[in-house]
Amino acid sequence: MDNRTRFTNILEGKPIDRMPAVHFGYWRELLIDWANEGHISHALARSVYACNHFDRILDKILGWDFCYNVRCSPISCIFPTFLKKKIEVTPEGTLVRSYLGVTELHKKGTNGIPAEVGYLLKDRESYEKYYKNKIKYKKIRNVGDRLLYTLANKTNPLGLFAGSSLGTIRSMCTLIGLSYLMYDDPDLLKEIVDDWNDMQYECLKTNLEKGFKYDFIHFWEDMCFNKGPLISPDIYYDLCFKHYKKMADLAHQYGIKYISLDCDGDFRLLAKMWEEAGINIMFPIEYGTWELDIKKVREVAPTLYGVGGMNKNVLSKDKAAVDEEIERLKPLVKLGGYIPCPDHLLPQGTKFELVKYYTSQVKKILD
Amino acid sequence: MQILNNISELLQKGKAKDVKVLIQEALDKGIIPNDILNEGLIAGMSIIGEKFKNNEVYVPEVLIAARAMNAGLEVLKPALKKSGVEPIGRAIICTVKGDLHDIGKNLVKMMIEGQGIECIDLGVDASGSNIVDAIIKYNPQIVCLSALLTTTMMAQKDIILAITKAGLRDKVKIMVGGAPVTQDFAQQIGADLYSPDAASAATLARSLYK
Repeated sequence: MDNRTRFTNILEGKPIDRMPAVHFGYWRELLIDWANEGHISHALARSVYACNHFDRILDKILGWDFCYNVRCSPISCIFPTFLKKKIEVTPEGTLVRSYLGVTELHKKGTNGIPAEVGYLLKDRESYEKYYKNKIKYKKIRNVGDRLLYTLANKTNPLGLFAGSSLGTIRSMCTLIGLSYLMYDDPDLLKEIVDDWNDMQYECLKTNLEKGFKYDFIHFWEDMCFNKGPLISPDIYYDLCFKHYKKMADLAHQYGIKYISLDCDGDFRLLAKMWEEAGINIMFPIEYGTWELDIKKVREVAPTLYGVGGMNKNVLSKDKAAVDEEIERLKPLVKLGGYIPCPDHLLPQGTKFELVKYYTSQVKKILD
Repeated sequence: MQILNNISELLQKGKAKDVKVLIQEALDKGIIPNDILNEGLIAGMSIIGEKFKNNEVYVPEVLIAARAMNAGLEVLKPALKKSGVEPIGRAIICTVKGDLHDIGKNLVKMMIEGQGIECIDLGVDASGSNIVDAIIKYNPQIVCLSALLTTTMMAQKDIILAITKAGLRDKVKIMVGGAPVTQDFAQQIGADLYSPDAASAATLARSLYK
């Protein structure tokens, strides 16, 4: 049985030979640490990106079946992007203009996402000057080489990236900018969201029309933190629901049953909206300190499937902690429609040998 | 007093310009600046904090309320200074070494300032020595340490050790928070206070001055 069949059979409640070992990916710092420890080469550590050729080499070494980030990605972002460039070196770190036009503080020896210290998208004038023309559908946005590579390996589930209804807009104007726009010029924010989602709809439509057999389409949002949604669920609904629904309906027209969405944090207050809009797979269901799992998700949105929910932190401990985590996951797996996967990118401190141990054990979780 | 209630309500709605106008009006009416601060601005931020804790409002509403508070303080500060009103205390806040994430830290800062506590912001990626230097320089009663990542939360422990080593541990209460941080972890690393969210952090900080 191949991974594509395992994936769809789990969601459809059909028998599988074993659970696939699925992952999200790695923080680069971890791969470099693993290279320094002699587990992998430095060339491999530098070259791994979600679902590329090198990722699949590392999959084989560690025992993963596939990375859930496997998907084809049209350019559903601003186009052309801003040229990423160094602006200034300061005592606090290096200021860099990102591809989205945000000024970021980068600093050696730090982890995760750089600090956002400035942004261009503040009002109608800046929207029309810097962004409006970049948010237009153009043919060049269509899926290219990456699709060809992905299609060459049809044994893994195949997803098509559908973009984000609000997440990337938040990234463009930062959470502070989004918050101010929401109250200073709500009509402009609505216009930006509509322009953005119209572009993404065209990207999705054009790429679906090519006739490739995708298993799912996938949104990225990251609109929640440990205490719940970043913004009001009502405002989120007003801005985005119709766009999710329109794109989910489109995918259904092309025979795609599964609509997946990536949101970190405790997303339960948004889950019902997404479910009603047609989204049916939540990823990565962060265990975090709020201890979210598929059972708790289904208490608010009963029809949702899940990929994720495995507490990645046990991979920095010992085999007993991994065994305990597998035991915690067993009853969740038995609920059906759920595939365990580390609940985010594997961070620094993750032990190479424990990952190998986890992949060997999760494959036997149904035994 | 109705005008102070109105200031509080306008602040909660993020109406910065209106808050400024009403504060000026209150001052013109001879209302004591400290009353305007406590019953208008701080009362409004406290309500927003509670609502944020209960998921009745979200980050944008906190940010626009804080913007309105700052706008109000621009008008009120000279009068506060003139009448000899000082902040009720002083805190130092930062995101810890190795971590550049500052949204949570900034929310906590806004909430703490909203309680009338001066907050010295050391920014992101702050080391033990940065904080030791700042304690010596600013003489705060509270040190707030934020970390977003499982990989950086241990830096909270390193900072507490640095403060202890510098002989300053008894001079400050140390509060820790951030997405991966728990009450258990806070106890393990020797923090005095743990806050699960920004509003609770402000309430905890305020309670130290009662």
